Amino acid sequence: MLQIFVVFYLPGLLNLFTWPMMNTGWKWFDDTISTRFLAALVAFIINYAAYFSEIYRGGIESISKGQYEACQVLGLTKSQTFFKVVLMQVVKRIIPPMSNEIITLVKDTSLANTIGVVELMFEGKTFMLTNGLIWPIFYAGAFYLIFVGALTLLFNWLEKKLSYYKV
Amino acid sequence: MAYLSVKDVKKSFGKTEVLKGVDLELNKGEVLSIIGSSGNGKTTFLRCLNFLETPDSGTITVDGEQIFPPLSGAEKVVNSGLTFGMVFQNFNLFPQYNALENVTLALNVRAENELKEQKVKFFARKKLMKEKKKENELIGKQILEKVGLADKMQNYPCELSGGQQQRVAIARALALKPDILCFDEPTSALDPELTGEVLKVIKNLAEDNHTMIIVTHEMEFAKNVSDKVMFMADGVVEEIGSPDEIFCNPKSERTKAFLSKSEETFSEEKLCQC
Ligand SMILES: Nc1ncnc2c1ncn2[C@@H]1O[C@H](COP(=O)(O)OP(=O)(O)O)[C@@H](O)[C@H]1O
Ligand SMILES: [Mg+2]
Repeated sequence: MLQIFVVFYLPGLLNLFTWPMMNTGWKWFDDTISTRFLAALVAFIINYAAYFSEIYRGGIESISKGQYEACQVLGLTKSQTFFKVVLMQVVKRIIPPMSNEIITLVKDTSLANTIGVVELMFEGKTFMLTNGLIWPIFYAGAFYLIFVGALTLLFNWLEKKLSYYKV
Repeated sequence: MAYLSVKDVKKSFGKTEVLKGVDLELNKGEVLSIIGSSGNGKTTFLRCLNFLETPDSGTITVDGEQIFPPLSGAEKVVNSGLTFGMVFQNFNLFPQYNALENVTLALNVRAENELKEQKVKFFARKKLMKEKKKENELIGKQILEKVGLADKMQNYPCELSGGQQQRVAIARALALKPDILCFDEPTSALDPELTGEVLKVIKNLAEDNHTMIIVTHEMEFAKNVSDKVMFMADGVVEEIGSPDEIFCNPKSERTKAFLSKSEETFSEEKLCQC
């Protein structure tokens, strides 16, 4: 959330060129929404790129030296070793942490609310306040549940598909 | 001249000198066992032969051809000619491939490399590879049959016992037809009741006149299977000779001490009734 604030407000505070640029460069969006949306996008991309690259790095480093040595004595080149042997083991290792992270990402989108991006919770709240109905906010909740549930099923299926080998 | 000739190979890790000048001569079809207590550089020596480590100095010649230091002047030596094959203590099979795929992987990769070298175009190559893969599958099946795994070809490593995994690893190394096959304590990671099946496979290979170098703690096996036994102590070859010479009439005091100690710890019947 802090990162979203920083990305959204900092350019304005520092009077950087980015501010007018965003307004002119992204004209095809409605102006006020687009900068907010862009800020949220940038914040999420930076934040999750950091998390994911960390997961990939950990996955690649967790493959034992023995696998590389076995490839070397069999005459595989470095790239052959990576694509034919290491990669599939990394994929298997990173699926559980990846699925966690992606599900957290879905839930984290509600943080964009704080800088006024019209996302799911925002819409739910406005609808509730303007129409005086409580149900839309529950519908929004149900939507999260279904979305996250679907993702969970997808990842479970993936993990099962790869369960024929152990790393 | 001997088939394999190693002269004065030295290797240090930082300040610790692990190999202090190892010499070795081995003829084609001979089996050499390397014995000695832990930390004496046996593994390091095998790794130097396979270029998993680069020796600091010394020469390695196979069949009259100097393979280390490389004559071409290349900085890093790669085992591209695949003179040596290696079987590891902890198998190092590829978990995502079944037994047969583990054996054929290197064959397929090699076939593809050859086609690339001949500059065969992408689609033509894919087509040729299909046939090659079929051929390699037959080769792989034959080798797996030879190590007694005809019924386990489609099984993944996690579905196999340690002994079976090690036999797959041996088949994988054999597939490339290396001139000299190295084993680094092939049975040390196995339950005692599983060592027999692996040792039997190695013994069959010895009878087929494969040139092999085996690091082992199985004295009984070393005595039965090898043409030469080498005792390593402290980074040098303390003594080398026929099994009878080493096990029955060791000349060096250290060899004697090592042998009597291993007889105690392994509580085997006396290695030598002489
Ligand atoms: N990569 C390495 N870095 C530093 N020291 C090593 C390395 N590999 C082996 N050694 C050292 O070399 C010595 C010999 O090891 P090794 O060849 O594995 O002996 P052995 O196989 O006879 O038990 C040991 O003291 C070990 O600590
Ligand atoms: Mg060792």
